[in-house]
Amino acid sequence: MSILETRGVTKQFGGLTAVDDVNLEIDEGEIVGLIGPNGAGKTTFFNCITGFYPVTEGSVHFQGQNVNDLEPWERSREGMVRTFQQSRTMNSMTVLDNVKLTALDHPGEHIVPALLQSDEMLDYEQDVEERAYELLERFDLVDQADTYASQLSGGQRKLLEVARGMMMDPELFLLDEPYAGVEESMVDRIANYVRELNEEEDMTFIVIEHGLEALVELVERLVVLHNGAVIADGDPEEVVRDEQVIEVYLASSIE
Amino acid sequence: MSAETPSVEGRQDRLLWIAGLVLVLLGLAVMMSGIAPGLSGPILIVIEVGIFFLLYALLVLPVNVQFGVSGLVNFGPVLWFGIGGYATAMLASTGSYQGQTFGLPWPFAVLVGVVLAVLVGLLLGVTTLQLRGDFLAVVTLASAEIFYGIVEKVGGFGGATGIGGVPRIFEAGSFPMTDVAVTFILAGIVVFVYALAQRITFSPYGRVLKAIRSDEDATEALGKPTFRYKILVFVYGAIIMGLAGSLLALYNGAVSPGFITLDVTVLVWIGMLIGGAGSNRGAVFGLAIVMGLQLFTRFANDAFPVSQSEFAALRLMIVGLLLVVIIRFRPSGIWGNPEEREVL
Amino acid sequence: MGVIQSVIFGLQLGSYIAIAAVGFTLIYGVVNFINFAYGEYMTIGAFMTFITVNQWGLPAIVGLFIALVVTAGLGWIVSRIVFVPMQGTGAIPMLMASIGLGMFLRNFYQLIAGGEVRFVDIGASQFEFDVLGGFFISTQHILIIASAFIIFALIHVLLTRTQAGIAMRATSQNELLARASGIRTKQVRRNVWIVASALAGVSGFLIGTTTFVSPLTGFNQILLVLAAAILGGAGSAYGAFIGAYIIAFVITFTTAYLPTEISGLGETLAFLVLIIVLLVRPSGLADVEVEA
Repeated sequence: MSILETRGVTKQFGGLTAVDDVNLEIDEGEIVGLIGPNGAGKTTFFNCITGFYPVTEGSVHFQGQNVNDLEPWERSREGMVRTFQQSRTMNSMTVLDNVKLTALDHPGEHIVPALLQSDEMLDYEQDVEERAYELLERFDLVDQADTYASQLSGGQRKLLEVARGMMMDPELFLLDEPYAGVEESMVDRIANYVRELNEEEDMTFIVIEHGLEALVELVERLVVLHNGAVIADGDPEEVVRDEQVIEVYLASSIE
Repeated sequence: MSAETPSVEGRQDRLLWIAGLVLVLLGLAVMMSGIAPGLSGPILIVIEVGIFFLLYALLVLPVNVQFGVSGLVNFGPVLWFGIGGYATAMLASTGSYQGQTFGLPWPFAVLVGVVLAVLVGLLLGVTTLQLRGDFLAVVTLASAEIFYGIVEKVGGFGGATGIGGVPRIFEAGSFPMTDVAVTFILAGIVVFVYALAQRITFSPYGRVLKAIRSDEDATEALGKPTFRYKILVFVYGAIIMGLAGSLLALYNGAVSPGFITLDVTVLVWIGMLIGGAGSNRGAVFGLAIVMGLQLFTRFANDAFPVSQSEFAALRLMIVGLLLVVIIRFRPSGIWGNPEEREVL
Repeated sequence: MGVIQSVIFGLQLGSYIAIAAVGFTLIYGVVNFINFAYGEYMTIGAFMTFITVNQWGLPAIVGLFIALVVTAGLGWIVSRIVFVPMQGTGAIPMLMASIGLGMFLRNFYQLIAGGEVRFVDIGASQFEFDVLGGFFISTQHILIIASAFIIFALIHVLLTRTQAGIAMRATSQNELLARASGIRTKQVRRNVWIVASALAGVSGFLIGTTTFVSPLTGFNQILLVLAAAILGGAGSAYGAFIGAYIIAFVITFTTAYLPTEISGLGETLAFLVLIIVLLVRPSGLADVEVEA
């Protein structure tokens, strides 16, 4: 069953085509890698899927529904959660608050319940806090619960982004360069988490990385972007040996 | 457990509401009792400055929730202060030397003042909240200046003289007791607004606001309609600040452009920054420091053979210097939390 | 009042706003913050003019020179003490610091010079004309307007033909790129402080000779200067220059042609123009790239 479908998605900035007619169908439970040299359009593509950029042409379909008209916040509530290339954790808030933040449908996030501090709201907050602690335990961040996010290491911040995304019960998780700026030891941990979540919750993942071999072990399917267009899509081992793909990577590294 | 709890430490919150209620009742009691003890000169000066401190506190708290908590730079609090004040004054006044008046019941005038403030808050919010920080500062500032310019120059608004003849609802028989009553009532209102501000700040609602301050796009990616939150923060602030303006008009019996100058905006901002933007307590205490200096100079002036204007200049120099020093060496202010200060 | 007269007044008002706006916008573009104390730099220029011309009895041109040099020096010193150590802390903290600084300086001037208003006498002669609706123009007008254009021409030369100036423009447009191309941005900022302060001094001279000198001389104009800079496009000297004259004309023409009850609204109208510009085209006249 397809969870995400992009039909002819194109994004142009003035004269520059950053994403070029991308037709991709992702099934539920897949772990898909998205690679390509710098400037290939990977993050731009994510921005189109999540609604941060309106598409110039084409449409994005999530769980069978055309989401072109939905705002980013609406799409993420539908179950499409993303992380960012450069960790965008709330650094002036504690780790715990970062995770509690993303809880959905919290009555306390509306002004009247917040001011009245009803029992209903306080109970919900209690539940949210419990769930947040559970998530922090799972991602081994529980000791940092009361630390301000600014003090975490690069890898810890990436994990925090995942933990808080998990609070939203995502169906589709879009990870943008989860390994970038992360300590060696963390890279394996992150990969393990992805595999676990995929197995246990049947969560679909699309992971962006820009190294050619970075995702071969983790993903079951690899898509390669170049100049905004898909130039390869299939089994990771085969894709990284594909001549065109190798040429594209060589060419970009020479530049 | 966590750094913040949704209910503001239950006991402290309860105390605030009780204190607020007691103060308001005390004020009403004074107003209606008709007692008139003699009050010495110095006490009267303290009360006079105190009343303005309380009115400005009703400006600093919304500005703090807008800037300190949510990251929105509102440089035009006097706009809403003025809208509330002028709308109430013009609608309720029974006759002014200059300017258009309508002699309507004052509760209605207050309501209209608040509604107008909200509408302006909505208008500005919808059109300007996507601007980056310093541009937003400029637009809010310019809007306040536009309002100031209009009421100062257009005769219908009373011009430089302003609008007089506004019913003084806090009359307590004798002049000093009116001021005492008003002080208590305003203090109670400030305590209420403070309690509300605390509840907002330390609730899940406040969590979203702080996230918006920290990283708006990421917050939007995490399922929050950030634009709505920002507009509403402007609107809620407009209500309180408009109300403050109405209270000024009804206490003073008059409004004039002198009450809504840039100096007031600067005073409120300096108070908030010195005390610590983001902290409601800090904002109010910081404002108290700045106005305390004002009080101090009024008394100390008598002890020094220096002219009043020179002393005032000295005081303002100290205030300005204090602000620079705080920004340089303790940008989170005296009571602010350095961890929670964003580089904006 | 004839159109020509309004034009002359507009050019005069525009001239001192324009020079200040250019200095102000250089700071905005290169040091990246709104300097709310800039008016106080202008006031230094005004006072130096008064001292030089009225108290020492020297010719106006010397007054201009002294105003320029002293303000440049003092402005640079103040920047070293207050703003250079704050480099990188962000536009808002620096804006706040400038508000505090401005308050400090304004009242400092009040303390040492007293609040009374002083007039600078540069012995202007007036010429009356009866054609084209009748207007008068004085040597003062000519001096002011000519100074503004000459100074601006010099700035133009600075920005386009000197290395320092080109470096300023590059840094203003894209600091990272400028630094990557080897430009010493710290020096560029220092240069900008000196030039911007000098311009403030010149503007102070122009205002002082046209209107009056008081501790609030500069502060009274800061909002118009800010409006001109933003209208022109934050960081663009050319935009600021033109923006200033546009605002000045809006003010002088509304003062001249609106009914008396609301004729004082010229300045208010200028702010309205500013808001509209920010909403419709935040990049200003010069279409300066705006980071969100």
